[in-house]
Amino acid sequence: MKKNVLVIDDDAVIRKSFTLALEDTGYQVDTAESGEKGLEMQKNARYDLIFLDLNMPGLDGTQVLQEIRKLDDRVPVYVVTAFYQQFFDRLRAIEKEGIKFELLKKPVDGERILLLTKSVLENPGCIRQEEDKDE
Amino acid sequence: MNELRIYLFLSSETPHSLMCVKNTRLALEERVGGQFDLEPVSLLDHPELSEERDIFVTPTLERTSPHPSVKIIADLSSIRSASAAVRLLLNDNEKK
Repeated sequence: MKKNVLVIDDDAVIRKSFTLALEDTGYQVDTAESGEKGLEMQKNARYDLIFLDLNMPGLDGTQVLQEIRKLDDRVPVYVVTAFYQQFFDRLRAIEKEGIKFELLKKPVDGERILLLTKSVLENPGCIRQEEDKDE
Repeated sequence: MNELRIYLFLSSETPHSLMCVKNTRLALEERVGGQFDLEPVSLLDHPELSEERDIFVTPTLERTSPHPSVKIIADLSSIRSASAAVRLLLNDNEKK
């Protein structure tokens, strides 16, 4: 069965970079330009993996994450952010609520997007970094 | 101090993250008994380590000893997936 990936980011260049990195993989990649749009899409489809920008106008990443978790507690959600302290303050509030998320550091290149996506969506669920070889 | 030294870089200290630590520990114990040091690290608390250690995503397992260093990006949410990650992490180090 085809795996579905959702990318939620207000930056069109970032959305494009994910789409390009994952083309020819066989995964279905959907993109949303806002948190509101992303939530709407999540309500209408089942995703196996979500990439979520932290800093967006309107609903920001933490608000979107909270709403995602109300709908689906299992889907892996990677919060995509530069690792600056002021951004992390928002995530600490989420942490206190016990809401599950992972971190993906910006900027992220196509090779690493592909590496991570394969590690999440394919057996055995792990992959070696840098040398980019499977077991 | 054990020769096998491993860091587990996590996003945070949520119950899910703590479960990942537990699964990793169990997988290591099954593989090498108690002969390892496993140190969980929250990147929310130590974001500077992502740059220092080239950690771009969580969870990441890093074996720093014995050399060479190995990093594994892994799903650690189950014993099964943690076991696969530990096997890959120790692969270079094991005798056939």
